[in-house]
Amino acid sequence: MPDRTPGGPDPRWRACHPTIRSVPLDDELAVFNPVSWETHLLNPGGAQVFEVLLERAASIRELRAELEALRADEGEPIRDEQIEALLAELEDLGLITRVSGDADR
Amino acid sequence: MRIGDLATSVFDREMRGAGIALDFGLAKVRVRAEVPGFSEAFRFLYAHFPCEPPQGFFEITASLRRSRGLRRHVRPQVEFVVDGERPFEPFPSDTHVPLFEWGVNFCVARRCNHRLLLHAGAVARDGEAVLLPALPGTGKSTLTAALAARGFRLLSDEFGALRLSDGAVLPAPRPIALKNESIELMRRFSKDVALGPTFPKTRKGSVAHLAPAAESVARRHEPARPVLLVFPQFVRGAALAVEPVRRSRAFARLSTNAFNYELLGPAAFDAVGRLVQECNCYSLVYDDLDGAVDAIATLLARRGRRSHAGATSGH
Repeated sequence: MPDRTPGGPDPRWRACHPTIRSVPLDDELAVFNPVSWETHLLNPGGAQVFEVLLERAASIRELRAELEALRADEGEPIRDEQIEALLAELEDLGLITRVSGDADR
Repeated sequence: MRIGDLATSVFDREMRGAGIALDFGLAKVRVRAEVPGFSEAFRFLYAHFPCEPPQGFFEITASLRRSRGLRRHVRPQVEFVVDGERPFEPFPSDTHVPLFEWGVNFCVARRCNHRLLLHAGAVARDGEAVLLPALPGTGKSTLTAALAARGFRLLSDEFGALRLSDGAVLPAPRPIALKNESIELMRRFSKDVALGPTFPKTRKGSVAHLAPAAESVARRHEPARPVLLVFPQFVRGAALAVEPVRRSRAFARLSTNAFNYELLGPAAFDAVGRLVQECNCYSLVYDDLDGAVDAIATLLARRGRRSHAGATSGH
């Protein structure tokens, strides 16, 4: 679970590096990390989240809203735990980083 | 003058002397050789290439020479020497052509890192390239040879070489190495193929080389635009099966297939990304060569019709 200060702003994430490269492949995304020199393939869910974080910092709540808008016709609710797990994985790969407060809002 | 126009004795003298310049598009090699039988086989396989004196810049300076020492009287061997180094152990002297071809492939894979080098067969028709990325033993060279025998322009049976600036496929038409059963298969497939001598005792079994056609050699500096990616797999007895491949799977397969993807990093990522976005991607399981060639020709024609329709509707 991400650290939360009671009453404080939700934690937020954004893509790590300004020179991260990405290529959309149908509904998936190939990502090149210029620090680790590694290539990653993100599935459609991962691609949607990462594309948001390439543009701006976002909290879990904001990401859920984005994903629900993108998947309006799918009907299946998106749980915060799913997004948290995905963010943890992207963070572990060095593709995203946590930002403090209202940075990049 | 073309190599094939020279008398064997004259060509052999050149090879033993200062050597010759071999320009196969992707790279230029200075070749010297003093091994019995090599000049004659080389002259046949590279007949359509111009015979040029060894002047200017060469990516590779290679020579074949007989091993020295007492062993040469018992079991003569031949060495591949590049820039004074011997990257391989000596081969039996009667496998000189396979050693030379593998040696040049080794050097290209090591040195041409200003290109993205996919491990792929590559052919072209009307300026459009078909790439056949595959692991060894999947029938890539045999299928490439069959396509060339049916009128496709040979770009390479080993390297899908992409220019990083625009993604064009750069030709490297050299003799196609056919192994074991593929040799007889190609003889039956087309009576017109120019097959060189068979070398029966190489590390990969019997090997024979198919000389590139005159047109492929003449157009060796003419790049082609990649439009079709086909991942071939020969399976004995299998029915022909052509299936679309998701772009993400194609990306993953290409990035692990390339000789120098990790070395080139972001440039390779961009090149592979552009390639899979611009190409239609398929897997092809085949047993029958004719069927496989027809399937690829059909995919290319279908794509051409679609492109034309798209261009028309855009106006």
